[in-house]
Amino acid sequence: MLSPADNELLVRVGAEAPMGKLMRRYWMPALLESEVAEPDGKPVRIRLLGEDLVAFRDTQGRVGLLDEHCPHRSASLALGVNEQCGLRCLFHGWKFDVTGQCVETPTEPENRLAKRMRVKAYPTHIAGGMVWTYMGPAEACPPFPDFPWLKMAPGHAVPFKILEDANYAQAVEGTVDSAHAGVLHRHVPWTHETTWTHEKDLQPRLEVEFTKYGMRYGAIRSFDAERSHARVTHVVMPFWTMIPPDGFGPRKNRRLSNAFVPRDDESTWHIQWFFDDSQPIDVAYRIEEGGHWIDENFRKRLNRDNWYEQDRQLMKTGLMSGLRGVVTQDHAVCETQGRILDRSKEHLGSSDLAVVAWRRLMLQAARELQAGKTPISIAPDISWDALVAETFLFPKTSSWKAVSPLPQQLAAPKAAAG
Amino acid sequence: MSEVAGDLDVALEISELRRDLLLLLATRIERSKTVEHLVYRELEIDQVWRLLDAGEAVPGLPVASQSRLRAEIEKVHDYIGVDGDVQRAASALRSALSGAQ
Repeated sequence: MLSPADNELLVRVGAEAPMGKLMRRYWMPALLESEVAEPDGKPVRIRLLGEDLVAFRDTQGRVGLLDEHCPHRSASLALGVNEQCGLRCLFHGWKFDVTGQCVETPTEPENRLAKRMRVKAYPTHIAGGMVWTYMGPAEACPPFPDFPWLKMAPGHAVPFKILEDANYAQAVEGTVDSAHAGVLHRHVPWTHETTWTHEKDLQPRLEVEFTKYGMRYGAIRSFDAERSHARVTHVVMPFWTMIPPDGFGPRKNRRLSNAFVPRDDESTWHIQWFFDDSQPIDVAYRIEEGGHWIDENFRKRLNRDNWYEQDRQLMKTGLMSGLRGVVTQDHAVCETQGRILDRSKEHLGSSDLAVVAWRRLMLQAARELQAGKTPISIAPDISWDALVAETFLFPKTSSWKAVSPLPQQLAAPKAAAG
Repeated sequence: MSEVAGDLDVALEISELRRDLLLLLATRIERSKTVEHLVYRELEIDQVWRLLDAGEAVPGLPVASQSRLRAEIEKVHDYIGVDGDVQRAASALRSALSGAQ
């Protein structure tokens, strides 16, 4: 559980909130590159960390990310004309380039005003099929993280984007919670026999380890008389989870990285990269598997308004949840926790260890930044290629850490308890 | 209850409230040295709170002390999780149990 004060500290992501300030110190994926594919194409409205912004690709192919509202009289720049290296407000023609510099004020008698006017603009970077941005102080901008899935061959790493109608924190917590996998994602009705390890052993033993980038945790289950089954997940600050492979066929070597980018305090952009160095990602398979059926605004077709089209008959004959798609299942439980989960009302158990650890990680980092320190996770001196989420079997006489030790370069400086 | 009393790198499963068990938790808190230890201790206290909130009582603890224990457990939780102050957390827990026989 968290006190009301700690819960507020965890969930509020506005510009003046401590967690909002922490979030702004990291590069974050904002839009699919396909949303602004065309130079001089349609501008796109995007809400990030409670800020209403507009993205556009200019004549030279550069992507700008500006405050949505014109500094003249606040009309939406998303209505504007995108041409000749700038976005021109529809109201009075003020034009801005991708840096936010006003370059024309045609309804004013002289152009000196334009030189003094700027609209807020955030830098952008394109990688892995997405437009990324950094919304923090310019002087503190960290190096762009070269995550391994951003460097893979075409088709081997594919981003997906979907809107989740809940605060980012509970969305992240859903992916640092190995125990739920055997229940929520159960392939058969509750009373039927199952073949999956995580559905047979519903009480994984969890162990956490804090690192330079955040933390990792192992979920250990019994596999047979001699062996245990381990799933090792990396949790990267501030909102990433790197999920190891499971299953067969298209899933055998496929990994997943989730980013839960706060849209505002009550909604989240759930970005997923599926990647596999052994074969291209089967996009159609993933859409069906995930239930990734969305409209043009990235809203799920199976959503709270239609109660996720839960099928009670299917619950008796097939999927225990009656909810089609893994993402539908995860979002349903997350969104029905409430827009902002009240953690003072929880009753946690031993299966919630990684959730507790993640909360402390985030709260400590927000407090450190508030105290004027820079959390180590903001620009860790590590090779991101060393982060590999894994699934493996190991002898019960050994330990998962012995089989998969944390590389020294990823280890956090040891902090002592007070 | 599965118990590995000396192993601070696991979270005990807390399924009942007993004075000796809670005193053991205080000792475990006091001996905790790493940030990972604090997470395990916080989860142990979360489980104690869960039982208290469900109406469980510590045998032998006077009624007035039961109410105080619940309030103190929330403080112990934050001494561990927010302040990282293991000495203060352990002292507060022992103090809350001082009325039990």
